[in-house]
Order: sequence, then structure tokens, then C-alpha cells
Amino acid sequence: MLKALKLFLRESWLLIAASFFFGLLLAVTYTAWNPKIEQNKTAKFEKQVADVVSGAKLDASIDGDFVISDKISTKVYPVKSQTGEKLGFAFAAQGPGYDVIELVIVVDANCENYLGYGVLVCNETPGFGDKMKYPFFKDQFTNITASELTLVKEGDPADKEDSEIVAISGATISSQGVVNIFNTYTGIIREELIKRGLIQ
Amino acid sequence: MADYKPTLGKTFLAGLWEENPVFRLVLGMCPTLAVTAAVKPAFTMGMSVLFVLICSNIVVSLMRNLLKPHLRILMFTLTIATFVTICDLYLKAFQSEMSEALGPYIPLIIVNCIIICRAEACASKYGVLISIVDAVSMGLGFTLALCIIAVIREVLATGIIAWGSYTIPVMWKSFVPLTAMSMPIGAFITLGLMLGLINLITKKQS
Repeated sequence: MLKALKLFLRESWLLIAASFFFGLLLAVTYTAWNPKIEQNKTAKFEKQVADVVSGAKLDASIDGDFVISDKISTKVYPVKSQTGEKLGFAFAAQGPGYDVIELVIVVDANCENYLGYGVLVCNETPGFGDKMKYPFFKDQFTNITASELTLVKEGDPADKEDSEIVAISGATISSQGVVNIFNTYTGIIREELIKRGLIQ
Repeated sequence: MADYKPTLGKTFLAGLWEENPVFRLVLGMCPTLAVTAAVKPAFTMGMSVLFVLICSNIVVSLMRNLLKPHLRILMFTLTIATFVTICDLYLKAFQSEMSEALGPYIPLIIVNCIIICRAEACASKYGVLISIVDAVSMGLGFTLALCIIAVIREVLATGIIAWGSYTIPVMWKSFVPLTAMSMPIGAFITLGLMLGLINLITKKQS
């Protein structure tokens, strides 16, 4: 047993030492730069919300996480105008497309209408799935009733039912991913806001 | 091979021309094709590879006498992955727009053949100084190749070279942009033509 342990250490001591050293190096680097990375993320979040609702600003997040599933939770931020008028709520939401898609969804003050969405992370196929960042797809989610959305493969995005979203041509999986994110999050967020007495 | 002793000058020039990773060794094709639609991301990618190459070559060269043959590749990968992660964190913290523009291609440097190739071919055999010069040479050669392809593609696709908020108009006013050059097909065409041109020059030289 001791012989086997000695052999193991003789053969792998460099790997163990290097793993420890590199792990420490990464931990130090991450600790040093993570505040700046988080600051960038917050700035991007705020910019996406301001793009959806012109001139809007975010209040501090509502206390406590909103649990979406066993592994996923999110924070919800009240959205206000420059004069302090309550415009709605914004929250980060994520789900699978080809890769993980992360969005900022903005709903109105009663959580009854979608005001739109912004894209935080999208590594979908350039020229296809990443068109979720473009107005012709994004605009379909602007000022529509916050009901269960359905993806349709054909149709005119400018002339459709509120609950229908016309898919990006050649990117059904990514389009469905966006629709699924909306459907997964909105009901839970609305119920939780009602529970907390923030909407009726 | 055992008697071969590289000089600093030869090692430095090798990466720039004779063993240029993109044009002569045809390595690192994934970022070459993916991030050369514009000059700034191409340059950032080149600098990232240069940083990882220098750091990994130094570490591999320092531990070359301690490496066990069966753990060699594992140690290379561990070293490279560490510095790629540091580079990725740096870009996320201080160049967030570039980090987003480059997307998964920065983490993919881990599997870039150039870096593991230099660790195996140079750093694991020679001293620190030669390894640093080799890394600088290969990194600059890679950056140069990426920037040449990116300049051609960006100029033909937009008529300008953009660097952040600065733009340099290159083409005449009535120039009709060739949008295809900013798409993947533009990368393949430009790379193919450049490889052909380099082969032609090399043939004439020999």
C-alpha cells in the first residue's frame, strides 16, 4: 500500500503541485477582477433595459431571489422613469438554445404586458440564431400581452396575434429557446410578485 | 535533432515567415476564419494568443526536466488552460465589448494547435530565453497573419477600417461594399488567396 502511494506521488507530484499552483493563481485573479466583471454585467443589464424602455432607470432589486427551478433563480428590478414613475419590472432570464441564451425581460407595472427584451448573452450561430438581437425579431415581443407564447414558422411579424412569435428563418431552435424563456419565467415571476403584494 | 541548436535570430524570424503558423503551418484555422471580419477583434485575438504563448512557453520550459513522458500533454493542457482563463477574465473585466465580440473563441485558444505545438516542439526541449523568443515570434506571426486577412476583409466589406470610435476611410466614395467579405465565405476566399500568394512567393524564392 505504502509502495503504491510512493509510486503514485513520485509519478504525479508535479501534476498535483501544478494543479494547486494554477488553481491558486486563478483564484487570486478571479477575486481581483470579478468586481469589475460584475460591474460590467450590471452596466450591460441597465443599458439593455434603457434600450427597451427609453430613459428608464433601475431601482435596487426586490429583496430575495425569485426561484424559477431547483437550479435557477433570478432577481427582479423595478423599472422607473427619470421622474420616478413606476414603469414595470426587469429580470434576467436564461434558457437553452444551441448554447445558453441570457435575456433581460421587461414587463409592465402589472406584469400583464411584455415591454420587450434585451440580449445579455447569445452565442447562437452568427447570421441565424444571433438574429434574436435584431429589431425584426425583438419587436415581436414589444408591447404584447404577457400570455403563453407560441412559435410559428411562417407568418408576417408585423401582422400576427399577440401570442404568436414568427421564428427566425433557419433558426427555429434559437427562436424556440427565446419563446421558452419567456414562457418559463413570466408566470412564476407574476405569481411571486402577487404573493409579495407588489402587483394585484 | 539532438545536435540542432537554434539561434535567437533564426528562431525569431521563423515564426514571422518561414514557419508562420497561419500561412506556412496552416495552424489555428478556427480563429483565423472566425474573428477576421474586422481588424480590432483580429488584433485582440492575436495579442491573446501571444500572451498565452509566452506564459505557457516559459512555464513549460522551466519544468521541462521534471516532465514525465506520460503526463506531458496533460501538463501542457493544464498550463495553457490556466493562462487562457486569465486572458478571458482580463478581457471580460477590461475589454468587455471585445470579449463579447470574440465570444467562445477566446476560451477556444486552449485547443489552438499553435500553442501546444510550440510547447512540444520548442519549450519542452530548450531553455527559457529561446522559448520566449519562439513564443514572441510565433505570436507576432499569428497576429500579423490575422491582421493582414482582417484588413483585406474589412476594407472590401465596408470600405473603412474601424477601431473603436475611430474610422479610417480607405476606399473611394462610390465604392460598393462587398458584404460577402464579412461573412464566412469571405474568410475562406481571403485565406485561400493568401495561401496561394505565399506559396507562389516561396516557390519563386526556392
